Amino acid sequence: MANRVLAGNRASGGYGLYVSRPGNNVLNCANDKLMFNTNSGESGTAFFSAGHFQVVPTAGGTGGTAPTISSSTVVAAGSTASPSYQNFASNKLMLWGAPIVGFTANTNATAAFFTYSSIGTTSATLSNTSNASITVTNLSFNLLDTSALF
Amino acid sequence: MANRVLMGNRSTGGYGLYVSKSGSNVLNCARKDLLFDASQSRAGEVYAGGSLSSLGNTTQNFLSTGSKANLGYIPLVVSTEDRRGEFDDGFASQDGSEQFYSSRIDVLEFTTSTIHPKSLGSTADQNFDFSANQIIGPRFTGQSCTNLKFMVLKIPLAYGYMNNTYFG
Repeated sequence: MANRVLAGNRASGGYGLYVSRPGNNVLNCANDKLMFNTNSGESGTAFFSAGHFQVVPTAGGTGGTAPTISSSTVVAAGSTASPSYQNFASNKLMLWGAPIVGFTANTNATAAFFTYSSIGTTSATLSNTSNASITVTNLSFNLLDTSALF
Repeated sequence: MANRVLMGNRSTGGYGLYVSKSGSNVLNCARKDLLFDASQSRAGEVYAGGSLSSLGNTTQNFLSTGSKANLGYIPLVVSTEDRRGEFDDGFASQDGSEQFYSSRIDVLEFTTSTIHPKSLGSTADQNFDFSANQIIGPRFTGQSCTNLKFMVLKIPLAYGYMNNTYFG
């Protein structure tokens, strides 16, 4: 059986916690064979990862309080709202929304367009740019970095 | 408090590292209640990403920052932009003999190293021509890609890559 978990000093990556994919030796496998690592600032072709894809809860998620993953916001046509979330990632957020809207068949360009802007540490502006009220389910993800590219 | 972290032999999964969700016993909870499960092939490691105020009809190399190595596969990219929400475009000719329907057509095209805004197909209107309209090409007017945020995950997600070669 391959070594799968390393808490210690890896030849490539240094001290940290590493988990390899099934069948791969965590001690010396290629970077892409790792399914978890605590990177230590590697760059170039030795780069491991920027972090892990994580949800930022809209409420809870601290201490023994279970996280609430999403929120629901009703926004009138042409109006704005302010969905909120926990301050787990400052303003480094990717906001994801799914609208609920009723369509009328054979009408031109019925739309449920909306945008997020003014992304702050605990809330953002949700703008409904369509011509009908919509209900948006909001999900927040930790974007890890606000650079143009990272 | 429930056991949350296991580094060892789990009855379902074998030796590895496991972390359960709040309130779930990592020793015997269902797989769906694990935040991290080392018995699986890949997890949501972010390899690259970015926030671009706009991206025109051009490719953006997401490996350029830090000169990262190409992953060797087309990865799963999670993204958002201002072109979001649902869209329903329909057209019916005056005599009712023709009816066309179009949903969202603004998409993003990915390669092993680039992200590129595209329009897929064409919106429905009276000038729709199956023989002439593009299948996939530059974004149409009014469909520009703005406020793009994306994260490139180390998960192969394209034809030819979703197999044991890339998941093993």
